[in-house]
Amino acid sequence: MISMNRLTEWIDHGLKRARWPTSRAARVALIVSLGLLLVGVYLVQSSQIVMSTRHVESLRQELTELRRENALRLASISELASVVKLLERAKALGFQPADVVEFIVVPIVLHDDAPSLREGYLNP
Amino acid sequence: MHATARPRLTVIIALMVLLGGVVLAQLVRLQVIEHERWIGNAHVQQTGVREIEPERGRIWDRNGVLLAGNEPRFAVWIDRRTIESSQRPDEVWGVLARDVAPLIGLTPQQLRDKLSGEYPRVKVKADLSEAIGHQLAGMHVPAVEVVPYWKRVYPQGSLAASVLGFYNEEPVGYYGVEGYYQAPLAGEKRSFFIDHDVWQDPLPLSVPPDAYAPPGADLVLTIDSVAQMVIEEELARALETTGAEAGAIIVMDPRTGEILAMANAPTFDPNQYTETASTDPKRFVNPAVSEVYEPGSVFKIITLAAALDSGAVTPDTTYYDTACLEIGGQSLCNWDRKDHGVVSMVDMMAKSLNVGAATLSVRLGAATFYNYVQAFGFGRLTGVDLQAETPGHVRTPADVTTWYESDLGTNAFGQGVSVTPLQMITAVAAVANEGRLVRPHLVKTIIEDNRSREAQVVEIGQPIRPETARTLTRVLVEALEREVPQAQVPGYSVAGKTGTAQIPIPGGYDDPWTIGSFVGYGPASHPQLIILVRLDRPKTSPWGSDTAAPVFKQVATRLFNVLGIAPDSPVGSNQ
Repeated sequence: MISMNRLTEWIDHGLKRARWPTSRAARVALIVSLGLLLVGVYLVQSSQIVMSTRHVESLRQELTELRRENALRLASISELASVVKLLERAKALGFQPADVVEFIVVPIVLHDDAPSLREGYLNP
Repeated sequence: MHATARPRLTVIIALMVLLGGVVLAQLVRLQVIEHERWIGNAHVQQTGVREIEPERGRIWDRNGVLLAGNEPRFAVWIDRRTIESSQRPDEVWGVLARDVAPLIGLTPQQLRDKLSGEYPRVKVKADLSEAIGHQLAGMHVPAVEVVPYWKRVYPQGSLAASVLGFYNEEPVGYYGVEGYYQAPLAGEKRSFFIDHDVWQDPLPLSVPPDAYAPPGADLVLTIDSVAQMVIEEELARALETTGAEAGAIIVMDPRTGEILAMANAPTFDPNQYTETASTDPKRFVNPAVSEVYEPGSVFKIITLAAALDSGAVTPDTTYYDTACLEIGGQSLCNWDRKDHGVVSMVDMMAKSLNVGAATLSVRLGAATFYNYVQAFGFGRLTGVDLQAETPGHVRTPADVTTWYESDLGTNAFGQGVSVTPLQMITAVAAVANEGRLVRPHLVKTIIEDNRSREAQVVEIGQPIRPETARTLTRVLVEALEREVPQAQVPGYSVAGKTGTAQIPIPGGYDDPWTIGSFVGYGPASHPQLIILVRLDRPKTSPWGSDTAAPVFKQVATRLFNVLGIAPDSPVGSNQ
């Protein structure tokens, strides 16, 4: 509070010394305030743009790294699930190649689960 | 004001004005007179080109199994000039030796040796993992540039290697679909200017919002990786049991031209292509499309198709088979050099009689015979989407200096014509497909920008009528049942033909070596698979019936099961 009083006194003193009428002082104060406001808005906007750009750049970087990671995982999974590896694993688990395969003739084969189609097939 | 103060004040003011003038003059010099120079310098220092290498398109099999993908890797580049021009070069060398070298698996001396060459900017190490790449980048060592890149990987190893080809560090795809589809797979590299700070990090607002290179197109192949594994296993076994030097198997859907599997032996691992390049680069070549051979008796299918379609014969037509037949002054003999008397077309195919085939081509006449041969696609590219396809060669009477009358006879049983295995299977597939010749292809779908384009079935022509195709299929089924039990598949009716061909070399044939082959399709009632087996220089027997036919049986038996193709013939009826 003390500092605010001193500041007010200092401004009053300056105005008295400058012998400015109150109206002019008010106009100057208004212009200065507007200027400061503009500068403030500009600075806020600029810093927000900079921060947003940095954020976008970091997201872009993150996206790139995620893409790389996905590619790495995909390649690893594909290698682990390769036909040769699956076959080896199946043999290790005791599965045997099917030498004799018997086909069973199914009289009605439903190609769709739709009830209407099923009814149509069963009760033509 | 004090009297002595005024001159002092004048001097100070004069000095201030002078100083201000100097500053003003400098400003004018820097910002007006030498404007371009300083702008240029600033541009060089602060602006860089950022290149974005798109991820190469992936390659999948028809069931979504990844055949070719990409892994992120990092390369380390060091610029010697930057070290030398830095304020403390010894300190930079120290960091390189102490921190960087061990991280990239080099000794300090090895690192120095790499940097002491002719070029100031050197790639000292590549194929580094993402963890090491990030660690290096975070160290911010002057002169060290950590560059990410995509490394091509083939998770299935050597599976379908000759179909895929490989991708090298140039970076370009070679052979197979990697070579044929290089442009769509590669995508488009993008580059743009950015302003960066001292750490080379982009300044705000300098990166355009669309700074992204979309990946190359993904390819979905017609290949079925399980079928591929089956034929590769069977081919390897066949080479072992017959002692053949090399071999090839192709499996195709005759109705669509989709190649379901294609194997060659010996083969290579595209992950290790540099080793193959240094030891045996011929392995990169896909003989199924890039190398020609004389098909031998398999070609009799084409000869009989022409004869049946033109109405020159029917399956019951007979001729008197002598052991040899003279055409154009050359004696052409049966493989067994025996005369077989009166034989029908079915007998002729069952016993694979050269005299019979030559009799047919002579009866047709050169013009008709070669018209049919060309209609089946011989002597021109099939148009398959694989790199380095060769068209083969069929001499016709139009080649006045190279064609002889005797060629009409020898060509009828597959001698003197050079074809690729793919041409041969495509031609026979036309017989299985009601006479329609369909272009073989390997890519089923191209996925680009989230849109997919499906390959269409392309009908190249109709060399024979559907009735002829059905008749010929019956003849081939009967002939096979009669003479080649080793190609029979229990429960399925199959049509096919064996082939045994000598291997032409400059000045004659490479006796006693042969190429044994077999082309067959089934189920004959509604063909869904056609299979070609070719074995080069088998040691156990020279005959295709002894070497290639049993391999066909093995492959067909397994594939009918694997692909869920139901039998069409009661078990036991064709055994």
